[in-house]
Amino acid sequence: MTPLTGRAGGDFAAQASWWLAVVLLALLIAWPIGWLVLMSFEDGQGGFTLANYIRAASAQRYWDAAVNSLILSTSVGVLSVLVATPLAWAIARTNMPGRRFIQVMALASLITPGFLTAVAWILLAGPNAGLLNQLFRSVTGLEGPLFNILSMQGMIFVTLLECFPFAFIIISSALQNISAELEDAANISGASTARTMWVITLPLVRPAILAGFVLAFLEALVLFSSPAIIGVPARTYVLTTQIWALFQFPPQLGVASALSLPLLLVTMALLFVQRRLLGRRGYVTVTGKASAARVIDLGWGRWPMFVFCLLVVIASAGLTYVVLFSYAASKVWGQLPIGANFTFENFRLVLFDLDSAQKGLKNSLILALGAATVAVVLGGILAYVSERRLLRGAWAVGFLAMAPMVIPGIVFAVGLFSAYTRPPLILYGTLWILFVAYLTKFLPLAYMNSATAIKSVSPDLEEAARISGAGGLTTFGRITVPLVKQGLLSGWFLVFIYSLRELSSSILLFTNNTVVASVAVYDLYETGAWPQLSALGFILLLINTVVVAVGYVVLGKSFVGERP
Amino acid sequence: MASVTLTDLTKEFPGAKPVTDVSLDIRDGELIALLGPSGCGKTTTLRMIAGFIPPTRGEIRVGDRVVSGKDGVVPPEHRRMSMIFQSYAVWPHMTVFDNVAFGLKMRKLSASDVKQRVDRMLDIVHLKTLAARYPAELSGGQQQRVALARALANEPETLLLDEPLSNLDANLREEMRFEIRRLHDEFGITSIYVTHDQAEAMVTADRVVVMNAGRIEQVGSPEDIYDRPATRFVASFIGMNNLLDCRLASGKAIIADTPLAVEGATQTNTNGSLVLAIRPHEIELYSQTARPSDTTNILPGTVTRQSFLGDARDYLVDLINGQTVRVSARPAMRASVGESVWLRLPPASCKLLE
Repeated sequence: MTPLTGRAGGDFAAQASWWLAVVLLALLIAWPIGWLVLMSFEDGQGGFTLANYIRAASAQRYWDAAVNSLILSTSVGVLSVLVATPLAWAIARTNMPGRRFIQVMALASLITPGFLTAVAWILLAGPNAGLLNQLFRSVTGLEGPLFNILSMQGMIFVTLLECFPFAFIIISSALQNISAELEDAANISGASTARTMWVITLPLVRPAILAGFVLAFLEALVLFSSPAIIGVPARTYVLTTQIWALFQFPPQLGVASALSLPLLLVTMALLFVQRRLLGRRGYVTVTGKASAARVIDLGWGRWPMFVFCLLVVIASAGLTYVVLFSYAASKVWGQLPIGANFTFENFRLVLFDLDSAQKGLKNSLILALGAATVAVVLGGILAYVSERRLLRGAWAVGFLAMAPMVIPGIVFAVGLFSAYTRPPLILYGTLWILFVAYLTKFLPLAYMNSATAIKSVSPDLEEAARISGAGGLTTFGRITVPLVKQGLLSGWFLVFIYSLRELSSSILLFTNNTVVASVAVYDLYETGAWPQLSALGFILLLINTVVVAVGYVVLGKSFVGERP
Repeated sequence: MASVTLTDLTKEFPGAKPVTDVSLDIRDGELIALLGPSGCGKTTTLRMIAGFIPPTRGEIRVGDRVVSGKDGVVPPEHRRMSMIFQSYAVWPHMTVFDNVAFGLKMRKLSASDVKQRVDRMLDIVHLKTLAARYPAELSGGQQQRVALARALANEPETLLLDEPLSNLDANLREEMRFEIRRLHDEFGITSIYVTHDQAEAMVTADRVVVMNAGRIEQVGSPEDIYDRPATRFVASFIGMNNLLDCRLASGKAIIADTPLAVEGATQTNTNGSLVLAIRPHEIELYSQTARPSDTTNILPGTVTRQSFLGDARDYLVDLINGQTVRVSARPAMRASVGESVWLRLPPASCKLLE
């Protein structure tokens, strides 16, 4: 009847499942990273060598790339904070008009793929054909361009548009979490509103501002999109584009690995610093909760503030949609896409004739669907194991599940390339390698959302099921999963959205048959097929928007903001 | 039905030992209360019995089955126990019916059997009309009843209750105390009830186990615990707030040079330190001018504080040797701060403890 002995904490099926998930996680990360390290010390014939590092360290162009990366990241970090802080403050604490709209648009910039924003800005401010420069020449009659986006400054500008939302989320969350009583206490002690802002509020959010700087710096450092689309034509290489260039024929895997590892170490250190700055709250959640803090009357100053905020969000999100649509739908660029100037031809071409675009969209959707689903299952189980301490050393599970966060996409791709182009698992050339890349890279999103949700479920509910006769797996499936459905779903949507726009890993791992949408965009860009590029880009934006909208409807609250 | 036997049950964590060598025989059909302050180890003990925490040492038997011992630990789902949680732990995503039916479905009963049993249980806890509701639509008391029905529907051998009433308001708590006792009498399930509320333990339990710092201090009937506390801890925990240092001489307790007749003075140990334990409301207070006629066991003192509590007056009285005595007197008995008074400690109320 009743077994007299058994293991505490679970039956065999449950224990086996937990272990399986953990082992899978360990393999997902350790296998490619192990190969990355190995390849950086490998001489091409299987022997040990330091030559890769020596070559990496002795060539001027790698040092140049490192310096460029540093310039780019530092500028973007500083500027992000300078843009994000007033934006966040104006939304959280002032009577600026259109606060809700600005906030939604700022979050929209977060989900707008950066490579599309970069493309849009080339269409606007490219040195020769850029619309603004043409306008400038025709108005002034001067020769040179007004802006040249294909420059270091241009790259910094566009990267800033992609990275400032990360700083914005952290800072606005901190501003919303400040108790109004702290400010009231300063007021009652005799400080004016402005002085309170300066001596109380700002110091309180200083860690968040610093953390926002570090995060924007980090994002800029590992970014591939803008540096590739704007930096490469401008002959300004950064570390990520340099690693990518090493993969052009003939691929130099060893040197690429030797360049990747230091980048990995830097991102690890930076993310550690960022976590420290934010304290135990390692991640930031944008809850829609109304702030009880009082509102500062900006007087007439609320209008300039509004214009500033509006310009920022238009430049980072709104413009991308308008420009890509206009370009794709116009016969003549620069005139409104209406009447005789309107054409549907480019969209038709992309959707029905252009092989790479069709394949790319299909593959991207398959991958996003697969990666999101598996990431939620794996992330959910891992979060359960870690939150409920189901295995010895469960704390390490959480750490490991979040580890892909620190791995730059391109670095991970170098490792994946080495790991899966050889037995026992040859995945290169199939969608599987991209699936593994997306799954691992975005697992932290699924893990985090699940863990947050599981934290809010009392273990009593699960124990009640156990003592009622349910085994570990049944309890998980019948009690825990239904209760954390929302968290799992929001993780699913996030992984889906991020998978759809993934470029930095895909660019090294795709083959002709496994091209994905983002890579198809990049290919069209390289061949200069601007109308089709715009059409495909706009379709991608549209899919993205629809998915986000469905997410909002299903989940009923803001979930886009959740990201460390 | 089954007895539950704990033998040298011990739980150790790095840097903490929440339960130490707990041995206890719980008879078949008995309702036993584990009583003690928070952190005394009562909940850890209960969770070891349930199978949620593996013990470091010791054995747990249910009837003649070892459910936890040297050879391993039976997982909770195979212990044929039920548990009522402090938080009710009623599953919010299931209706009342599904909550109660869960354990029965786990045991793979036929749908008609499940329905029949659930209906009967809901009838017993007066929730029949609410079967289709979700927990969020129920009051706290109703949720507690769902938890009770869910626990009993499974026909467990052992029922575990972890502070089941502490989330309820005072009126409901009183009602539910009797409800739990009623259901126990009806089903006769061996029950272990964890609480920090002595009144709750007294009302519901056949026997009370007082725990402190991971150890059992005393096991006994409610009367035993109340009238014959075995240790200073038990005495103070169940309301004998006055623990007066004393020494023993020729069968009397000496306090402030006054010999007092006490219960338990025949105990021979006079070497260790002794205390005289007495409840505040058992002490009689007299003003200086109205010295009691019965002059055994009277002590002089000075009022240092008084407060009016409605149904009683609470006094702190300093004895001449500096010890402070708390007295709960009738409201009509007035004495102001600084006034000299007489205290009479009836011999039957004075317990001598080591």
